[in-house]
Amino acid sequence: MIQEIAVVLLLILSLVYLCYRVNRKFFSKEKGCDTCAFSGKEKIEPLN
Amino acid sequence: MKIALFGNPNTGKSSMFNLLTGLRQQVSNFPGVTIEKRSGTFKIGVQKHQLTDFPGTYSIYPHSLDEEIVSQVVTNPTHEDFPELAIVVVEASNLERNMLLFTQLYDLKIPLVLVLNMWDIAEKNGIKIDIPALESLFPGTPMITMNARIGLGKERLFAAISTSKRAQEVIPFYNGFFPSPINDKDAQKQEIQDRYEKLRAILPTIQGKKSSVKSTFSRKLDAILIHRFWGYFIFSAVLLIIFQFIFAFATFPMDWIEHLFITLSTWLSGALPDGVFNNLLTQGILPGIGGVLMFIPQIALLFFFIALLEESGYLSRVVFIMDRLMRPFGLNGKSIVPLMSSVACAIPGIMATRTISDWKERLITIIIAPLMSCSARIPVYTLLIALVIPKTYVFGFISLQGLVLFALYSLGLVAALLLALILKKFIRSKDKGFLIMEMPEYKKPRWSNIMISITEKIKVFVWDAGKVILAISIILWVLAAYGPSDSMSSKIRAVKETSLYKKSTEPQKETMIASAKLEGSFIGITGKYIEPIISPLGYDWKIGISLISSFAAREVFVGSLSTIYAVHDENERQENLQTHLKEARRSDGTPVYSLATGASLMVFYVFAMQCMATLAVVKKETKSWRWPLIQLVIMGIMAYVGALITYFILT
Repeated sequence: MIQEIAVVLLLILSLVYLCYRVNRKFFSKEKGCDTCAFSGKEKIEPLN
Repeated sequence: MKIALFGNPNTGKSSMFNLLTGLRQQVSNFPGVTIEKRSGTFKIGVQKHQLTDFPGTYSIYPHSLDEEIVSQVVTNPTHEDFPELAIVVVEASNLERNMLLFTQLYDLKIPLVLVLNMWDIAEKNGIKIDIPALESLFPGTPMITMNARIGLGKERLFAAISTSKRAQEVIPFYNGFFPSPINDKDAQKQEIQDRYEKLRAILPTIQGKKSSVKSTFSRKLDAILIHRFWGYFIFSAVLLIIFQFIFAFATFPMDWIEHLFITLSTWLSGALPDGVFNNLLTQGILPGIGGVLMFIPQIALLFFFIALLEESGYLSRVVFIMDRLMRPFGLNGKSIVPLMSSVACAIPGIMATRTISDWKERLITIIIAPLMSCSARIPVYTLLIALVIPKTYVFGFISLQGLVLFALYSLGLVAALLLALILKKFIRSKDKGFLIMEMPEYKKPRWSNIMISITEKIKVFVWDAGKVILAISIILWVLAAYGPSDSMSSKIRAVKETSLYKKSTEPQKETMIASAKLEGSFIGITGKYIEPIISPLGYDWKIGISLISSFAAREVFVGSLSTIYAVHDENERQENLQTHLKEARRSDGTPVYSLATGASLMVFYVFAMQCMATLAVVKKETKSWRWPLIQLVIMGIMAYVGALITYFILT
């Protein structure tokens, strides 16, 4: 039973993560590139 | 204090930024790397300063989006980024060209510190600069010599920043009206000419030797490396060697990583209690993640060579010779840098198109950039090449597998050029852009920079792609392990009734039942629906499912195949993906991964826009859904038709 619950939780988490990612990439106002090699400590702003 | 870093492209601003802030912004011996402002902080004693690195520009009058940001900041004292102090970085051996921007900033009355960077190269070239004489021409501006790459002169810079005080009333360097109106190009041209004339008159008195004289070594090398014929020949040879290395030296660590995951999977399968979570972990997550992570050595090797070429200064020569090659295809010279960047990843490549002033030229470059083979294609290419291309040698020393990888990269480039030619007919631009680029000196590569570049890129690959692969592996496993209640059992019943099943051995029977269960699962049913669309390309439904899931990112294709075949493998043999794929058979007994299918898949991945992140960046850069969708359709058609033709020819 515990194993089944763990699988269901992981499945839900995966779906939520993918939806979050699609939303962030296509619909957020954040900077375009979040896969480039930045350190994360830098404040990066879009040009326009 | 708000401090800004300004200077011409490739003068070492980003090295300076990293030196002061301790951050790891990408640096290279290559102009146009910084295309947006980036901020960090540093302390001198107890005083904290905010440092902003701006894109390189030759003057305050902008020609492109990245240059515009400098102009907007320096000409508007009310701008939130207007600096209290600006560090102007110039190349000490190229004062004449570099000083133009400095004189403009000086006349804008911004307190300045002038850094004569790359002092080592100037000294090597016998250039002597009379610093006190130069300082007397620009009162109130401290001038220091530095070598930012190795941190030489940092203390002097700190002292200059701490003591910098600029007199408000200074005699301007330029006597005419300044700044010239933003739309009056003639006035700007005149001002720049006048400034250059004045600089030409002054500089010989303060420097011992004419600047910008390239070392004999650089000139001799350039004579060969940018030669009309030998330049291209050498570049092709360099690429070929890189691809040979990727195949020759990555095998051992790849096998090691793969073995590690198989061992871990086998151990966990025995150590954890039987159940669905055990199956998810050993058949879904570990094969999915391991299948992609095993390609880290190849990607690290590719980035090592790219970083090496950048650091040494050779990549700038490649840009120069590519400019010559691309002009007949109507491509702007400034398109070359984004296209070259796209070999690592299309996202920074597309962002680098901000340096292109003409919107239409920029749009064409954005559309064709993803056709350049990026590092995410490496796992797909190398998996398929190892599967269908024999490990033989041409002329006894050139690996055929490396040669095919070279051909795939070349195909992407040719396709990009041809698409640009076609797009030019539809998207006409009036403005003919051109590329102005200074050839940097050849430098001994700094291994620390190369290592930083590799580790940052691998970190991004593992962390960013890893999260998507993990999520997709879990979803795929659930879809492959479960199905509509009667679907799986009816498939199993049907298999058990066949004469082939009755004649088979026990392990064969287990495999047949696993296949039947998979076909009856949600993923099997979906796969069978899309099979008619992809079967003309030689693909079965498992490839189809992997193609769809790899829309998130190309490397997911490998992870998805790993998961699907691991679920299929009920015998718990924990074989590697290569073995699974080699053993995969169609219903008529022929191998699924024949040369025709493998080549067709490779061609598909050369052309297909299988990258959600790239589409998102195109949407953000073009500010509309129109262009990413057009791009998706164009590349999709190219991929399908290209794969179809390849399969048709090879069968």
